[in-house]
Amino acid sequence: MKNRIRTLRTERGWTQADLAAHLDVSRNSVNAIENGKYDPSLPLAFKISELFGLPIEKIFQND
Amino acid sequence: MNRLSARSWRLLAAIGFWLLLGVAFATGGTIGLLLGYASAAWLAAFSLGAWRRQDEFERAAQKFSWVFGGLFGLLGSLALLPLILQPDVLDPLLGLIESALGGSERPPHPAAPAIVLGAIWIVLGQLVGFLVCWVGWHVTKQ
Repeated sequence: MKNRIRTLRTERGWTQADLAAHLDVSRNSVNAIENGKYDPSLPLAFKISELFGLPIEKIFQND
Repeated sequence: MNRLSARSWRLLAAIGFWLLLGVAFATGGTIGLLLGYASAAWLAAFSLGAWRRQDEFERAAQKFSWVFGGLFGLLGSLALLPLILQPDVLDPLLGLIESALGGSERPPHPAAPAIVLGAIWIVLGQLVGFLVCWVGWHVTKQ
């Protein structure tokens, strides 16, 4: 699954560690999600969506 | 204690477990047996604490590693069983365990060292399998 998390994060000037702190996950998790190596659970996807103020489908797209 | 990270809980789990287990073997007898149970309880409590504090990515890594690493570790330990059954390998190991079990008031049953070794061999295989899968998971997910 593709996502725009890296773009949205850098637009806000956040590091992966900053985003990890906002989401209460590890930096490894953020890195894996950004690289498309790990798909987050629905609760985490909603948390990401709320954090960036965008609907889930605007952040995650099917391959 | 709630502010400690999952990593700290895992570290405390391992240190306490091995410390208590070491004292249990050194003490022997009923006290040693009770310390052995205490080490297992310690490991379970702190592992649970670590599990509750880790994020979903790490939980997924551990689930994957226990299922596949545990399974292949189990099969691997069975495949290597003929090697460990060689007298040159088996006899020193049984002697080592027999001496460790000799701390109790009553002498252990003659089959006890073999049973203990059998359990340790399987668990060791599963732990190695888990570790390989866990490292592999983290390397491939970067």
